[in-house]
Amino acid sequence: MSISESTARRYELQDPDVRLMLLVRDDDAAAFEELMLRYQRRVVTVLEHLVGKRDLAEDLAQDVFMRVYRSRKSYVPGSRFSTWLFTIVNNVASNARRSLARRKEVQVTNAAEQSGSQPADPMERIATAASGMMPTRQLDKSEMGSIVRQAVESLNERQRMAVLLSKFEEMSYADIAETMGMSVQAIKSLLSRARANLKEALQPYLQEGTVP
Amino acid sequence: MTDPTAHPDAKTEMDELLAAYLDNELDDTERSLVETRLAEDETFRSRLDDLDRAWDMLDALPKADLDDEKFVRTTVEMITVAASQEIQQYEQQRKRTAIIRQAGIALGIVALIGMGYMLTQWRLNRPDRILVDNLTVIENVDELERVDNIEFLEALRKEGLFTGETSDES
Repeated sequence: MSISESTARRYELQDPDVRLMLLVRDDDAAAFEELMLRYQRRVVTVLEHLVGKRDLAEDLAQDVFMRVYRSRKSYVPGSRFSTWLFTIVNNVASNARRSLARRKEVQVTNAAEQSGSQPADPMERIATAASGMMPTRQLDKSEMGSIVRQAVESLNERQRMAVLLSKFEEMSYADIAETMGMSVQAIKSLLSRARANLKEALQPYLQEGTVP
Repeated sequence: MTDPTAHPDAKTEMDELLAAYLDNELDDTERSLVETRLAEDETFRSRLDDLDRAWDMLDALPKADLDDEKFVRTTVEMITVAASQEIQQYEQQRKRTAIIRQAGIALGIVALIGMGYMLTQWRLNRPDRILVDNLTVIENVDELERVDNIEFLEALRKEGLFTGETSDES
């Protein structure tokens, strides 16, 4: 899709990161490092929640920035920089998940045997934990983090991506739609279902963060 | 009071409305309608609270704790390596292209020479060329037919009487 000159100019004026990326386009290495410093934690965080592995998330984040650098010469600002960047993140994560899924097909039997009685489905794990025989007590920060992470993992891939972009990148529905290549209405439904699923998964913990 | 479990579609619609409200994605009219309903409908309000609290719990998700400098350094190193590989590939590709181009030019020249040779051969051997070469004989065919002695005709040819015909000695 071609981007009009006025659109590009508008984003250039509005978004300082677009201006940085335009400097990167002109081979300004310092601008590229600045962009990485601004976004690397955010990119790694999103990728970690998408692929579930920290090391892999860092490798993928480097791949994302490499793609940014490689496509610098053809960069034309047609959206906020973060929207453009997270479109690349989404593509990289999708490719990685496909590769992981292919590998898991081979490993799934062994993994199921090794996990013993612990359910493989995150939703089921949360429910099992919540219905345990432990007395009611306050959750500490890491426990809460772990429970919320499992709840996020229980979402399907699209819901998870939409939630991460909405929650952590504070993107509008329009920006999420552009990032994920979907319509605004589809994102509205997706986020609504994601919120409802999260609410269901976290229901036992909603009352002041206690283990029931 | 609304019972969202009564009809699944109604519940979905309610969730979409509340999610959009929480995400600040409603226009003024829709927002006003939601707020009016929130004031009147306890179930609606309770659902909003649950969705909002579950959303707030996402703040507990661990954030990436990176060594920023190291990440930048290693990424730049990777890009540098990749860029040098790309330059090498480009150079190799350029050399291959140059070789292919030179080979193409050489082949073209050979083809042109071949075509020139074939054209010349064709022009030299075409049937009307023989007729032209033997025009003098054709013009005098009636007289020459009267001569029974082949040696006599050979002698005439050697003396160059048949203009345009090449002698055996030449």
